[in-house]
Amino acid sequence: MGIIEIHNLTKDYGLSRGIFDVSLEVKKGEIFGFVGTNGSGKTTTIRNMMGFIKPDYGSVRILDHKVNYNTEYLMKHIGYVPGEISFPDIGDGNAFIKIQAEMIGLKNMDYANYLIKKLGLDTSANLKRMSKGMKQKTAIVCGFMGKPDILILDEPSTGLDPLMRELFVDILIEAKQRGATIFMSSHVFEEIEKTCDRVALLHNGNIIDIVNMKVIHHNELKTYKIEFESNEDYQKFLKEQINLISKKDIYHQVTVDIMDNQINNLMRTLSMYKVKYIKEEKYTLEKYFLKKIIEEKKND
Amino acid sequence: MISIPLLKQTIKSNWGLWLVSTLTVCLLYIVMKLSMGSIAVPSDTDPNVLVPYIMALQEAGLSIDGLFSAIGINPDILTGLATMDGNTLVGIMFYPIVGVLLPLLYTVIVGNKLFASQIDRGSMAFILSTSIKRSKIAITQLTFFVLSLILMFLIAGFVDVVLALIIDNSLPVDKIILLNLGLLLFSITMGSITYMFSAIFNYSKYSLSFGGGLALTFFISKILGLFGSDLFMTMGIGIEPMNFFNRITLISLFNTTSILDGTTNYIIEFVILCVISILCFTIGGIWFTKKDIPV
Repeated sequence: MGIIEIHNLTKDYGLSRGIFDVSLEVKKGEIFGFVGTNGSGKTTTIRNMMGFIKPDYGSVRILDHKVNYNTEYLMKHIGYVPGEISFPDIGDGNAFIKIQAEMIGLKNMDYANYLIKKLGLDTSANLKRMSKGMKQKTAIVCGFMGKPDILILDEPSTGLDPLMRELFVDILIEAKQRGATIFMSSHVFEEIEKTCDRVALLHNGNIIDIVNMKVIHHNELKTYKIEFESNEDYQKFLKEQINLISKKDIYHQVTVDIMDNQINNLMRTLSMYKVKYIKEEKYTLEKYFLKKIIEEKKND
Repeated sequence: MISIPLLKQTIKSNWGLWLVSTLTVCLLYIVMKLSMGSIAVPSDTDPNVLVPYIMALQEAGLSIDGLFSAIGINPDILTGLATMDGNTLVGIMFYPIVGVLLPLLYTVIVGNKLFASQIDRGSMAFILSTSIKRSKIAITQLTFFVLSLILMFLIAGFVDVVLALIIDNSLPVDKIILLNLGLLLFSITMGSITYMFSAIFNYSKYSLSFGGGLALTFFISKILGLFGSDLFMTMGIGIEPMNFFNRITLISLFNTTSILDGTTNYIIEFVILCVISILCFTIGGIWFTKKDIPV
């Protein structure tokens, strides 16, 4: 049984906006990434998961309870960081964190204070005058401070500088280590790559793929960029038995795909050429994602 | 039934406006009552000066009514003017027009802030992501709204009663209390309307258009309706068709004329205000628990 199960979730806002037949399952202790272009339906999916909105069709089940408007009892297991952050007009960050802790029934503020310190958050700043980054940090503290079993995060690192993102990744890993299940939408591929076990790709409201990050990290198909000293070598190499991805005539450059078990063949072949340099093109989630979207567009 | 932390949060984000509204109502009472008190007795008029004029008319076999008719004024105005005093003006003009102004503003702005503005801005997400039931949120906001209005008029009413005790020729204290009770009931009803629209709409612009639009319509209609009122008719400056406006404004259910006359019409109208309030609060509260909240 998954901690979060989404079955055929559909919320149609017309004009092909919304989400259509989204299904996925998040297992216990997993960090599940949710990536997609702007307006692809990430937030709509998350609003359904939180029971803020009701689907036209399909369902979300969390901890084996079907989520709806009245499943607020599930919220004591869930920490949430909204995508659009706005605070009530009640003074400074301290006041807000304190009242939020009261609302979730949290008495021990040790972990909250730890997070505040770690993120370097100045909680004495007025909520109205907070920068985007500060608001984001405040929301992260509120979402994580209760050490919930499940974290649902809508683009949680928006507005954080690269240094802060590193710290945020630490906090995510800490949560995973204590056994929390995390569902996180993002368009920062880097943090998804660093943290997630599996990633769903959402495009125009449809899930086009769910990848296990192991496939990305330990991909046996590698891409190399090779540049030759001379045009003769370059032209000659093009006639070899290779899986050519792209070439650049003026630089005498080729990009080839090759499986790890074929690499020695390539080395042998290359030994007969004057190679200027050879470089592995890292296979990233972003590339994978772009490839998938392009495939998807061709199918349309 | 209610969430104490949420109640605290709602108080924190609205107490400033409540304080300004309450103080302004009190200030209006003080200024208005003190100035009314000073014009209540027209001390400049010396009856001895008038006597020769009246004698002259009687010697010629004419009446004052005839004189007024001759210059084109309805003689009824005399009776009207004779029975009128500062207190009637206070009752009919001050409470339902100046008195309702601040509560109207307060209910429109705070009503919107209870739900719609928080959904529009997104801050409602922080409440909904806790284990507070939606119905509990609705009841907590309602409790704050009604209690804040009750407190507002407890204070304003207290000031008004004190003024009544220190100013000569004032309205009796029981009438003052009834007038403030009427203002409170009207304000709660107006609050229930803005509460309902705030709970129905997810955007401030719609919640404010409906809530504020109605408040403004009621207020302007009350002023226009004044020209068709009995008071203006007896003063000879009334325009009968404009009485139409009195029938479309909710403020008419705060029947100051009946309260001052000592008739009992106002009681049934108070009951109607209560019924409208219960209806609107219920619709708003239930609506909030049964709708998509896109935060």
